[in-house]
Amino acid sequence: MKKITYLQAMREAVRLEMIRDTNVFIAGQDVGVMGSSFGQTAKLLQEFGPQRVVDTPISETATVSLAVGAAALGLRPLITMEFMDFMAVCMDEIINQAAKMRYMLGGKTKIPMVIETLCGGGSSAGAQHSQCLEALFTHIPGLKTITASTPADAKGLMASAIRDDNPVIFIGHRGLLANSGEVPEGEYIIPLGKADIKRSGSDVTIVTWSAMVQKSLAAAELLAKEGIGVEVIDLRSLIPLDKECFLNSMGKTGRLVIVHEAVGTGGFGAEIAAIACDEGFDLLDAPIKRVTAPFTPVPFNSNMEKEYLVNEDKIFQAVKSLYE
Amino acid sequence: MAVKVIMPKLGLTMMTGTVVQWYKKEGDAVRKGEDLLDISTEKITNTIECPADGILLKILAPEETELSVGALLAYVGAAGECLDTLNACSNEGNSVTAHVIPLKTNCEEKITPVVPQEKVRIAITPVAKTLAKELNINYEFIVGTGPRGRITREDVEKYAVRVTGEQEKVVQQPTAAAFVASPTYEIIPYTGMRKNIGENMSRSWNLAPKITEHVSVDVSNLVELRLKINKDSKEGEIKVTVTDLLVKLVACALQLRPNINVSLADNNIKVNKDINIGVAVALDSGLTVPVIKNANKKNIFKVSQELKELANKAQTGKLSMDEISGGTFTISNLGVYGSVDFFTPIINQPESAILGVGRIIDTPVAVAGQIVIRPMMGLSLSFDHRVIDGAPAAEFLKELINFIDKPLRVILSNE
Repeated sequence: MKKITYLQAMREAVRLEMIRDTNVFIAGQDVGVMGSSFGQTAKLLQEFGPQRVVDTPISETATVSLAVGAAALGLRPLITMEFMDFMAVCMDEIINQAAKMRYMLGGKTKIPMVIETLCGGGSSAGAQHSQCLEALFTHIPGLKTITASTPADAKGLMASAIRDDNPVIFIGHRGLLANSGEVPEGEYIIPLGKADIKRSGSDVTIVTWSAMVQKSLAAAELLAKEGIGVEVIDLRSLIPLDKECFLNSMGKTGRLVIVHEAVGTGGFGAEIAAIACDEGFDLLDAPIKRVTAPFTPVPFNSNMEKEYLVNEDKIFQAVKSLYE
Repeated sequence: MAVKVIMPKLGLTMMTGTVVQWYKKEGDAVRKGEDLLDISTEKITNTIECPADGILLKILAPEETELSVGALLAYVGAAGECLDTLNACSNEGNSVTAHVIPLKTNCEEKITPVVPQEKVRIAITPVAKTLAKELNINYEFIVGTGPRGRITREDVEKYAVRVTGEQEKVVQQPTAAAFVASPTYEIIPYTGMRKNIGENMSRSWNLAPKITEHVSVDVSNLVELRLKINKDSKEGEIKVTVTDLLVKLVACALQLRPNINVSLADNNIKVNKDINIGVAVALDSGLTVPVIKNANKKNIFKVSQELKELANKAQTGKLSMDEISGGTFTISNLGVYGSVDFFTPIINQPESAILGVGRIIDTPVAVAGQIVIRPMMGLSLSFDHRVIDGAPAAEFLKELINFIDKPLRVILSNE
């Protein structure tokens, strides 16, 4: 184990996979000399050369098309989208090409590609650079959608994403990039589709992912002082979804709170709530609560953004409301 | 429309209940929540509250009738409400002998709603509702403590313990006040736990032709083993008692003789696969029998710890229904009083045997032609002769004596 940042962990996973498999290559804006806007691909150009670290024009459409074609022919592209918001530009390539090709060709081809992207607000980056759009992808059969809340998870899940034979949307969080934590050295794999219980508790289950895991853990700490034991489940992988994990937890607690940074309306939390009602109805001892952003664009003004984002206090209040 | 008063299910094992006393007469005005009648079961007596406001239209179950759970007891409704139709209803077909689960009466369809009454929706969480259903509890009587008065899982659990456990409501009877003129005696109402014990014992006495076999056992090795186990125990560590050891030994002897670990029900002899040992615990107000489940599979420290916890809970009235249910054999140890060698315990139904344990006392006995002093303990095995004959009981005692003589192997075994 060594202590590295979330950003370094993502890069380490990519680097190790590039060493392991020469079919893996990176393409994206400024991934070469610049090492990406946030440094995810720093020094990889020097190590692997311009054949495998490809700078692309400012066209998300072209980049995803390149990846779909390369993947169909047997390469394993990893493409980067610095801001998740920009993925709106290339939705046809993702939804209608990457996600459909394997199915429409009767399984005769595979599309082993990863789109590594970053989501999240908190840096006053404005409405077009702060969104959490995971629900756009979880709605599409044929895509896997994963998130990471810790450096170790970032490494283990990125490696699995690259090895997966399907298109995977790997959603990192800009607010977590500088967080450091213990990360296993060398090859480290976390299978997709396995949630992780980040904290055990017997009174309330919180289902969350990405940066909200840390916020939920902080709220759980406050709630423990009030005598409420919170179990914090980090889904990590939204699709495939580890529903057994939270249903089991609900069996113990009878109470479910879903926390995500994205807006609530049509968010992935609604899917969790629907499954919990459908398959876990008899386990429920309280209504299901969601803690999400309001149904409005992310404000640019930092005070307004602070008010807009989910925080410990909102989570704390939501859990307490189950008892009042 | 009229509201039915039905025989409630007050405990997991309750099949029938007896109407002890009505507090209201037909035609009396009643209020929801008011004491309406007393129901007694094999375990407890409970006062049943009136389920609705109105007039007690009709009593269908007079005092002292025994009826199945769910049977119709009375109707509460509006004045003048369709009494003729109600009169047509009876509990025929609901009698104990005919059906354990009552037939659905047709009354519901026949009653003409005279005063339309809005059905009150009771707020209850899904898990609480499911639990109430499993426990056969009518949740209409539970007061919810959750947000907006919602009934939660905890409410159902607490209610279940209250109506089925030992802390039942003491029935308001004419008490000392009524007897002020008689200073020569004190009146203790025969209710609650005292009455339950009394009724259970009477029932067992009437039901089971009982034999008791007595034997005096040399417990030198058992006493020595106990001293060895406890010798090095530190402050705060479990100290194993003779009762703990006996629970384990009896459980293991039952494993060898499953024909003792039986119960008679519905013309079948049920040979219990689980060996759950009840241990009689004396209380100020009577006695209770918490159960060590699967005692044969637990190591001695686990048995000891569980028994201590259960005994503590018994003293503070905190035993749950689950902790006093499911026994397959009972041990009653009077040895600690130092005044009893043998006695004839009454079987704790629906079990078929009970072991009475007497004091350990140094006694001269003959060993290999010599008179020596040995610690001897009295054992009295009472059993139900309907299902257990004298010989198998004697065989079981033989196994048990053998274990008491060579306890180490059994204590060390975990299965």
